[in-house]
Amino acid sequence: MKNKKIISSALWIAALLLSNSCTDLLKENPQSKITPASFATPSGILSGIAGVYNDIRGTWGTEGFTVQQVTGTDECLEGGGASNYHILCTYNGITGSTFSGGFGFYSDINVLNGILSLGPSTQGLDATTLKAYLGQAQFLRAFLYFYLVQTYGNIPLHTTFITTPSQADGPADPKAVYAVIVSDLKNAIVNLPAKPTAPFLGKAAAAGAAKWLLSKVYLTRAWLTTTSADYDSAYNAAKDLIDNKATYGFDLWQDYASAFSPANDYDKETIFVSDHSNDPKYGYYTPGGGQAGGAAINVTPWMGLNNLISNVGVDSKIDATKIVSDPTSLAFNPAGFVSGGQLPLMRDVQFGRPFGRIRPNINYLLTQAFADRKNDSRYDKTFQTVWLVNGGPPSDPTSTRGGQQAVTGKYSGDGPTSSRGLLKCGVDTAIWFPDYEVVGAPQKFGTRDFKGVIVTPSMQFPNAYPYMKKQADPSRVNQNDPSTRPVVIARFSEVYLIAAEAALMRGDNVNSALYLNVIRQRAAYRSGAAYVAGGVFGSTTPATMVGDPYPNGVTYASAVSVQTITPAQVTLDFILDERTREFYGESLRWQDLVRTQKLVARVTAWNPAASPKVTTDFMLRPIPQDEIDRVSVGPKYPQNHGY
Amino acid sequence: MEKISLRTDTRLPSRAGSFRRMILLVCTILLSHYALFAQSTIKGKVTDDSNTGIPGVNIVIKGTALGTTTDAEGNYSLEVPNENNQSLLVFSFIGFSTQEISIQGRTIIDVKMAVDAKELSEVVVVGYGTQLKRDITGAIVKVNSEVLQQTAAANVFDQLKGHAAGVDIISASSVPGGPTQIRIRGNRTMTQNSAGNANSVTSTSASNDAATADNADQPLLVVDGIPYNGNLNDISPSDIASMEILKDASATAIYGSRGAGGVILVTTKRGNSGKTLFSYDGYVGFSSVMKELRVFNGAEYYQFKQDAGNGLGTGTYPIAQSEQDNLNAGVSTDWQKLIYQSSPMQNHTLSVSGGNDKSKYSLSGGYFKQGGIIPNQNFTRYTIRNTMDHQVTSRIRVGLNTLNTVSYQNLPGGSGVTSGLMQLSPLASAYNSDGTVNLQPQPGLDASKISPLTLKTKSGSILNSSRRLRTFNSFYGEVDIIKGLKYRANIGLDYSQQKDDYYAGPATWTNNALSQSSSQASTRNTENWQYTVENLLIYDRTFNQKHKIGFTGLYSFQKSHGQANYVAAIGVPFDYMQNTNFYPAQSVNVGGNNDSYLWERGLISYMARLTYSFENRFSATATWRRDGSSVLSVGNQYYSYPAFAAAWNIINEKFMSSLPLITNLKLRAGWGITASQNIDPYSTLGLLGTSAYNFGQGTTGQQVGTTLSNLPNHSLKWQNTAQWNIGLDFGILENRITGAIEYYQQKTSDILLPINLPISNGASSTIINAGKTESRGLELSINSVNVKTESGLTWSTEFNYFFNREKIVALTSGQSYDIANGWFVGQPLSVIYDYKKIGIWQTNDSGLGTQASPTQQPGQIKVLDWNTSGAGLVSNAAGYGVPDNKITPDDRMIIGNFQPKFDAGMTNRVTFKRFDLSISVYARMGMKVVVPYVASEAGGANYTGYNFFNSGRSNQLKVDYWTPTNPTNAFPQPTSVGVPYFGSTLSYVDGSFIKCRNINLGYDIPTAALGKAGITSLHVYASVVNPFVIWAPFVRDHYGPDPEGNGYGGAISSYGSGGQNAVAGRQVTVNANNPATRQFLFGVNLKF
Repeated sequence: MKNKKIISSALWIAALLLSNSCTDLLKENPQSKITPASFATPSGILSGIAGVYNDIRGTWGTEGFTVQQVTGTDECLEGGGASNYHILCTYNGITGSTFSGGFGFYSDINVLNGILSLGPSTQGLDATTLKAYLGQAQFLRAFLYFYLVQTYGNIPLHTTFITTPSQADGPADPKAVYAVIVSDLKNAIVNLPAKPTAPFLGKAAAAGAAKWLLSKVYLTRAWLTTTSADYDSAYNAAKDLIDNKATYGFDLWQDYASAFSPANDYDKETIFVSDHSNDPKYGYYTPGGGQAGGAAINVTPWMGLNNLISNVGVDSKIDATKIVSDPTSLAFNPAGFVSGGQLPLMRDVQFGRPFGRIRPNINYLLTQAFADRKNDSRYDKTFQTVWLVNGGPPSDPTSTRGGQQAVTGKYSGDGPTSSRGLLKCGVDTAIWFPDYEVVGAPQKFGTRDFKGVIVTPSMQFPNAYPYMKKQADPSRVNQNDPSTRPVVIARFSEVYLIAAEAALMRGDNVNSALYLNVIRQRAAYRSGAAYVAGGVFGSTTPATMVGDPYPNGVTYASAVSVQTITPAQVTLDFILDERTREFYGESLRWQDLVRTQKLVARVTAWNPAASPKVTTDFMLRPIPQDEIDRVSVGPKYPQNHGY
Repeated sequence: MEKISLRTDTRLPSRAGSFRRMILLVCTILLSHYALFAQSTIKGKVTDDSNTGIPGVNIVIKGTALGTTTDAEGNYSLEVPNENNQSLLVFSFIGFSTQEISIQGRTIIDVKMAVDAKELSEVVVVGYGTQLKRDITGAIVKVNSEVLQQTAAANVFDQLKGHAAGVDIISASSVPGGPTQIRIRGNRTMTQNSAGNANSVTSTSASNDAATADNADQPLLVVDGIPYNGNLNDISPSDIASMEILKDASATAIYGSRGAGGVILVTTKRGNSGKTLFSYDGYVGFSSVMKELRVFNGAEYYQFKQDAGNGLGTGTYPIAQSEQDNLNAGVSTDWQKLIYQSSPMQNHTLSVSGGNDKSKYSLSGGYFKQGGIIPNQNFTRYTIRNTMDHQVTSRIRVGLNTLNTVSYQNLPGGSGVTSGLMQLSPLASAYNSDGTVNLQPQPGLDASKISPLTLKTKSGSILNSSRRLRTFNSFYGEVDIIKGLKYRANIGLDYSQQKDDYYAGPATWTNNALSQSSSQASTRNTENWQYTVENLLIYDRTFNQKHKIGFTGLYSFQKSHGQANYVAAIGVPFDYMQNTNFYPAQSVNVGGNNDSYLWERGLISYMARLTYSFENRFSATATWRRDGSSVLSVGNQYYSYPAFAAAWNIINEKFMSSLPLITNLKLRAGWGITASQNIDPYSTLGLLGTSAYNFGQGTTGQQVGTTLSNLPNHSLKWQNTAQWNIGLDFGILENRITGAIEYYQQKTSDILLPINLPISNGASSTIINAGKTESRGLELSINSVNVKTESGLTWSTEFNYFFNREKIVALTSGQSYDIANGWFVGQPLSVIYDYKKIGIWQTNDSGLGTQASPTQQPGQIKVLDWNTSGAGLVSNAAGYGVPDNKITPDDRMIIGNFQPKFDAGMTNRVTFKRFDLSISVYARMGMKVVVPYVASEAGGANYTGYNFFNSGRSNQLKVDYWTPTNPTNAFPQPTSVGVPYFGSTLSYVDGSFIKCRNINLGYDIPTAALGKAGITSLHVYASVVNPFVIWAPFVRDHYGPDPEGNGYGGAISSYGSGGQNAVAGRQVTVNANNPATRQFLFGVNLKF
């Protein structure tokens, strides 16, 4: 019975203990979370800034952004894999839904508002660090607002830290937005160091970048408001940056191609980048490139890479517009490529992932922008037009056939055999996109048998076109991996073209030509030796045109002379052509045409697919539908005109 | 819901009507014809406890039709054929326990019958105690284990499908051990109460169950009195004795803060005093796919590609030479057939129970394993359970229930293998000519895809498993203080630990990369615990044999805790290493911001309940509860709410004796408030999303980044639901027909709503208290014994029918709709808001010239130009329904919802002598389902639709598509443009179905034949689960084998990429996930 008593009393004691109140139970202690209160701490400010950079990475360089910035312009046409970018390419049926999510940067702007309002009173920050932090926040807020106001026009403007939820909002006067942008950039120029310093390394924002952006902002606002003072400011800001380029660590490479060498990504010609990393923590790298779409990965290099490499066969022939493997198969697939039994080309790490969303508007490029490809080296340095054989014969077990893939292509030895003989890997040409009409194409060069396929400009179609190679990333591991090169948002050569445009608009053709000629004369330079007869193709390096020789009859001096223009030659269209030559595929074109209000004219002139639908309404993108849908209190958010 | 018949007669046996006697008499007369020649007479008297004779007792010789009834004094006389003189006599009478007595050659057998406690005073678990069924005031459904165990399934919710009115259960997965979604009386909230900082609060599994499920309106599960927040698959259905489902507010109010979604009380099996009982329940069988999804075969695929090439656009994906060769050779690879397999399923439970006056115990061990249809997918569970009840002194009782589970879920390839299989070319060769697996069978653009056969051949390089250990313990101590008053302490401790392992070696189905440096590995450890302490004061007294008073007072507190760590690596150097050693990997990372976490939440509750019943005629319950929750804003953490209910046992009124047909009648009515705080911890504080960034390439530039994702809310308070319920329990014809009918209305206010904000205001979402919803519904359940002959044939039917009509009554501040969140006043809580497909543009359609934007072509999807939201969704407003020849987001409209018109279930049981057969059928009618895989989507994050649907890039579901020579209005023309305009409109399908849930055939092996082996009963059965779909438009139209859901979300956004989702993410969807399965089983129930 003693036991029972013990148990009994234990129960009573337990009952008393258990009745103790536990008010601590209701206290919340978010140990593993970061809350908005952190913006008032030094590390909170730094991580806020890094978070904004990360979100910029989530846009620049991604599939959707890259396509949006160049389609529906004179430069680009729809590629074979355009999928629903068809809408953007043709302006047929663009609505707010096409741009849903487009206002995502406002959460970053709110973070920056938080930093700018809480930062100055944050304890534990020395003056220098605080200045750098505020400068970053000012630059970034201006950068984001500038992107938003150019793209959507009628956007909300918030400059204070919003901590109370609201379901109401409405557009602000774009002029007020521009005023904030200009003021932020002026402050940023004061606060930021001249060149990037730790921890904002690489090509993060610095005073130099802020000056580039300010000059562009002035120029853009000048076009919008036709204020000559803004043209002056744009010109002066650009000129100041050029004149003091050493201070900011900027300069042009002698060779246009050097600007795109991976080794030079963070070098002198780069003003501002969005970084990527193959460290899965600090980037969005996933082996195998399973991601696309909304992921914050850099896939810019392959938006304009066609499916050719895995589709064309050794015995491919071309009829009027299409390539087929042999005449008998015309019957079953008149629409496009058919794989032959043996592929001279395979998708491999070197080539990457053929998204095929966009393709060069070859007519515009060859007849207008790059009409002079002899003296201006930029066409050759922008496009890859020759592909060497990298596929093995069917009997080669280490290689592939029938559309299969290997990690690396075969860069030497025997490739497949065509009716025109054995193809040597890394030596023979599989496909060539000449920039002129070749007699005998696609299978003969004149009367001579061509082992591969020749696709002349008139034969190009959405699945066969040259590749814009400037951003290629040769360092990847798997063929579908994203690029881990930084996305270069601004290059120093743009400052010259900003100066030239501003000068022209001020009526100063002399200085306009002066700045244009700097860029144009640089383009005359080629790194290769003098002309070598027949020496363009073939080497042990796969599928690239080797070297950079001067064309027959051209020397550096002669090219410079031809490239140099007179003040009288400068027109707005000339500058826009020049911007194509300099920036083709660098995600600038749509904004260039919108800024200069040339969208309708240039699209009508050069882009037959987009011209039926294009109107001046499309110079603003539609307000994202989710913003319209989510503003459910107060006045409805107005959609831009024409959508 | 009980076996054979539901005799819920609450009257005293002496009230047995003359009608009953008459029937019995007739039976006796009829039976007398069966008297045989060689026979002896057995006589005797049947008496009750007080030795009074019981008239009308039914006496049958077991296994025969021979029998009689007692006379007015309780005497009987029965002729027994000689061959039966060793048989059993079965004595049965309503209100008493049936007895079986061996004749053993005797001629006089007197029997004393005991009052059947279950019959007379059937007890229902009501939460913090039990109540007599007749005193119950609320809407409570009790389901016994016999009913549940008709269906062999991994968890008890799957077993409950179709058996309880008002309980709507939908599959949310078809993988072994996958989740199930349950709703009691519909939805109350408009969206999942998670703001995206989802730490799974109510589940421990990170990968594939309730964590990804929508638990906002999920009922509270209480196991043996302790709230259970764990994974349902951790409880072996074999250990469950009964389930009580508390549906209305008066019943659930005692669980207050978590009772708003209804409460399910699970009672596990416990020991009884008396002989030690051993039992074994087990079944073995196999599981196989109900049906493959119908895809194009080789020739059809070829034609599809040709037709795509002939369509608009130039981005065609032509047939490869190898495919052409295979076509000519007649190859048509059925990838689904190559992968799907039948796999074994088995369940074994061995239990021992027994005890004496003071101590009772039960012990059981269980093993369950269900294989999946995808190679190496399976779910295995080991359980050990022990209960102890001990009377320490005459005043003190203690007890323990410990439930221990280890479960393994292996899902190599995940739940979406089917999607991948469907997309593979049927013209690709699965094997090389030498018989080896063709590693990259797919030609052309998707040639990097690795063969799904690697799921079999390289199984060592594919790991996707989770192992969970759970121990769920409830301890109680009870002390009698004074007569009728006792104190009870309940202490619950639930601890679980889960380990999720992942490895994807290169060149496997789960990792297309070919380089070893691209192998991927991860491991996650999650630990969850929760303790609950309840102090209860319980008072129960009956005064003057008329007034029965009960009081329950509660003070309880609960704390829950969750913590997880995650590590991932890329470039594990050897496949055999899998995820066991991260050091040799090329790079190691710790995943995202939410992969490692810690959360805690607390709850303090006070509750008082008063029950009163008068003369078994009237009863009433009043409840008051006050809860304090840590997850709400300071100052709003506490909330109090009442509930009242009353019941009137009409049958016990004198005037009812004039209505002998009616044998039970009880009216119940109740009103109450319940509340919800079902949001994630720290929701009120706002949240920053975390990322990381590298400035430049060096490590010095590596920084952690934050961005604002959720704004704080400093005034977040309780959500509450007021509900009233009226119910009528009835029994007719000696309770041969019993049933209940319930009607309810509920109104939910201050809903804890995560809302999508205009992101221009600085953050995309926050949680607010806003909106009102309302629902009402009717529930009917009827159980009838249709046939019961003395020959031993019984046919009984269980039927239930219910519907719930829910709607949004108000949104924030006078809004009548909120398109961004998908909420419309007057509409059900989840709707489909999208363009309305009205067909396919046909050649020469005059509208083609009229529609200015987008310009469309014949063969494309045609939608209605209607301008609904341009007119504010008001149908009589100016502009509404007026075409403007432009299709814009203003033309979206509500085109369907997910609320069934009604649910119904029917189980028929036929027993004949030793055979029993049962067939369960259930139906959900009149709602839409979303079938993303027939729509298409470009660049969508989920890739749930076929990314290249209609461009012939990959194979897909066989559909009736438009061509110039096939002017259908069903599906658009395959083109090579890519995503068709308005593709999402293809994905909304009638989801109605009538399905056979199971068929069971059983046989009781005669114990006489087994007696020597010590076996007291042996039941064998064969069973088919999910045998067939009786009717479903979804199946009829070849969308797939089963319209029930198999996953969450993934609905296609409307109008190409980036569009607003037309369907709330909480909806269960039918996706190209593992298709539904069917089980064939053979089982045994053995007692010895």
